[in-house]
Amino acid sequence: MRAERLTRRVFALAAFSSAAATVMIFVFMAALGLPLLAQGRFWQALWGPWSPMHGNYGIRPMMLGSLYISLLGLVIAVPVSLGCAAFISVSAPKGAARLLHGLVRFMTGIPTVIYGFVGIFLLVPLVREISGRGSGLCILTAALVLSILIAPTMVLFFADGLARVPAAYCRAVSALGGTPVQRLVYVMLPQARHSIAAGIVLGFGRAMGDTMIALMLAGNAVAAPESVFDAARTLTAHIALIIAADYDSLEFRTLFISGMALYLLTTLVVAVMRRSVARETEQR
Amino acid sequence: MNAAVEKAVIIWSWASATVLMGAAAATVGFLLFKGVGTLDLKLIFGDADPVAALMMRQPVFDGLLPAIAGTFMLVVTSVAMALPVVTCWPASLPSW
Repeated sequence: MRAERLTRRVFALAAFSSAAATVMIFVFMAALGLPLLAQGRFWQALWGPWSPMHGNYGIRPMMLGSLYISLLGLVIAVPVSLGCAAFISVSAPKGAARLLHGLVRFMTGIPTVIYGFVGIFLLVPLVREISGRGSGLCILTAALVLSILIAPTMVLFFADGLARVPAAYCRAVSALGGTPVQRLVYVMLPQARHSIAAGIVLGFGRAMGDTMIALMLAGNAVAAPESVFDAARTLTAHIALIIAADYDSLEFRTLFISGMALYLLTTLVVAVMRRSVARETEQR
Repeated sequence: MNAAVEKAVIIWSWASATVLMGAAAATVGFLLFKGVGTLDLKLIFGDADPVAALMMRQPVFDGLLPAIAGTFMLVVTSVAMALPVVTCWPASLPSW
């Protein structure tokens, strides 16, 4: 019995320490960002422009860049992922469904740097041709590649959710003379809404947190972007770029503000999405 | 449900699957197309003797082996650290 209790404690300690690590990271960033707060430059650092020559270290352009790129990536990836999940669970011939499922699993394992690398050679020239200006390194390029990165994760969640709809419901639709598409639209999709929401939240989290693709494909301009063909810099790419060049300056201090902003933005969007799903469930 | 809508849903699902498979094929195909030509032992071991390099008797200077070994060590170490935490999570946590 004592051994059992000890094991439980060790296990609980492992579990709580992994949860505490997340909180500690935030506390660490807040503590190191404090000097800026004390100097009363917090808002300027959070919402001002980035021009170190004039003493402005605002991260607003990077926050906008992060949001634009990940939201656009999500907007492209969600319909494609949902379509793939529908293909796997309803419209595909048997072999094709298994093939796509296997391929999607394989794609989740491809490192992001590979997507970025291939994107530079295949997609950047194409976007440059289409937009007719700039280098082709822009929000659209990064968002397109990002959507390929996050789609497999979402497809797995969506397909899993659709597969877990009770077979009795599906049989009931068939018994009433419903077609497979009617079964999908009227029964399976509404039933799987939690998995779909979870997939979207996870996809967004991955999109916000990804560094390599934005760093390699978005152009890293520090001006606030105004169109999808403008170059932009994400918070993650900004952190990577500054940390590679600097270790002790005001510029470096703002990294902790960037880290906190990234953390809070992601948490906020995830919380809002979860909340809306929960509220919608209560109403039913 | 309208027959046209049904057809649109089917087309949308096939189009989505094609787009994703095409993206994966383009990514992997591009890498293979560009990379297969350079794939040989020299790429990994450089000018060193493969067996001697693997036994750590000879250093590899212009091959990929050090990078492969570094990646492998990093992955093994991080999995070894994460495994106890992950396996303990569901079993020990109170139900709240």
